[in-house]
Amino acid sequence: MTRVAALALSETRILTRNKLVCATALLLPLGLGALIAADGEEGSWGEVVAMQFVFVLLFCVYATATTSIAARRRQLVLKRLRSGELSDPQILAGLLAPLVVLAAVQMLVLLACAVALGAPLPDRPLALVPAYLFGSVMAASLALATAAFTASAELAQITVAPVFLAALASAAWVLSVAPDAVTWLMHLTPGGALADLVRQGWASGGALLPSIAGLIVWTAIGWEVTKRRFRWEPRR
Amino acid sequence: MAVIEVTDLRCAYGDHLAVDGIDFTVERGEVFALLGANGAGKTTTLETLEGHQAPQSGSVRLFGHDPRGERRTVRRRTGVMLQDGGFAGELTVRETADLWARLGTRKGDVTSDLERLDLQHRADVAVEQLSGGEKRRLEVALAIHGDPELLLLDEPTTGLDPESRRRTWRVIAELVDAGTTILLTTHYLEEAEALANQVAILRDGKIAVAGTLGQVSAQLPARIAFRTPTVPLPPELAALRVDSRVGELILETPHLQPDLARLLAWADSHALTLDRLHARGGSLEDAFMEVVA
Repeated sequence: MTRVAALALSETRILTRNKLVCATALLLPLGLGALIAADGEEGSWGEVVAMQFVFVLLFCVYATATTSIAARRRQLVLKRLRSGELSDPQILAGLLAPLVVLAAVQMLVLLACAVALGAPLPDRPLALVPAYLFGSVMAASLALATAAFTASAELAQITVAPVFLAALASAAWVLSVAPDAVTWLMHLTPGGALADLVRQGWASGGALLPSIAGLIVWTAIGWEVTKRRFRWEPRR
Repeated sequence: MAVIEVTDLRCAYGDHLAVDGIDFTVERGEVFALLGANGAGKTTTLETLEGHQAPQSGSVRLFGHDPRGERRTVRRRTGVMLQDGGFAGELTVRETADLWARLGTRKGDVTSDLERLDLQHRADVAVEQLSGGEKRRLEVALAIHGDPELLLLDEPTTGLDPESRRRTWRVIAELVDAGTTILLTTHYLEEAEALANQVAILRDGKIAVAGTLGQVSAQLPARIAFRTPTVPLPPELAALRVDSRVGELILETPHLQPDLARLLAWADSHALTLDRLHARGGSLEDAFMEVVA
């Protein structure tokens, strides 16, 4: 655990020294989250916070992790790490942990901002915990899968687009209908599952499991692609 | 038990067979140098030993373990120096060395590692600002941290200036004196001669020549060279002639001492002075050129 923490600390240091990554991981989701919150109104705060969560996980975890993993592979940092004593899961945990923690901090900041702007406290705050946990793991898993097809940090701008757009569109799709009108198909979309789970924090009585199942399915898909296609060093 | 055991190792990239059935062992405390031209299979062999590559067939064992399947067991006892890179440029030299020390279980003093490679004055500099030679020395510093039992070094002094190269050789020699086993690849034959007691020269993925430095050198004839004399050589010496440059004769012989004595006796008998006379036994360079030519 100490070794994973050492790697995570080092990765945090690297992130803070890279202005572009800093902007993507920190400023962009906060800025967009604030913009979304500015549109909040009575009765729609569940949707507002849900969209903020989706933005945070897409920018801070998914896009940034894809970019940094591709960059580390290109720099042969991944290969060097594999020359040491850490196992593969420990290496990945160390590299991804700072982004997952940063996402939690951003979500809390945005939530606090929303409350300050008039959002009511969630009726079921515990619904936000699985939303964060399963959502982060899904975003990380999809990032690793996308990194498998991303040769460089620059190319990540392009390769993240399909999942990014699909997640945003599906989140918007789910949030455009009432909570009780969400279908199983909506739950099986990456953004839809996450958005609905967050929105359940402000709804009463809706089922959480279908959304969690959707997030698990996407995590499994990402992990399966990662197992089959992920490379620890650039192609020769 | 040998520290490294390689048995009938084959590695391929698609249709290209990079390593084609090689066998060798490295005993405790030995320094084994893998030599060969670019593309001969040196780095592929080393990366297989490091566990980065899976063999197509055959086996590699480090301390009796599979370096790929039992990575953690092997790595605790092994220092690895990659051929190229592997650093996050944003971190300083000290942060990089500290991180590497924390990621492993071998105990050691990072400051001392940097001092050994003359990097202490660059400790607070970002790695991306180091010269190529300084990055190589940092690679060595990370590999030797905690004095591992086995060191795998891929071209450890490529890009170093002569002083840094000798310093690195001294560090490696100190580790050997302390009992470390070393396998290295290099393009510098003088590096192999300075450090290694076993060498293998690869060609097209196969070991063409292997043995101690003495054994490898002894497989080749000795050479005697001198300025072309005004008097023709006697037939028994003329038969040894293999080459002549402008104004110079080169003789090759498997029996250096008697043939040199015969040449000197002949020169004495004709009152000749053999200008620019020099004689030497077969060398690693000769063996290398014989293999790669």
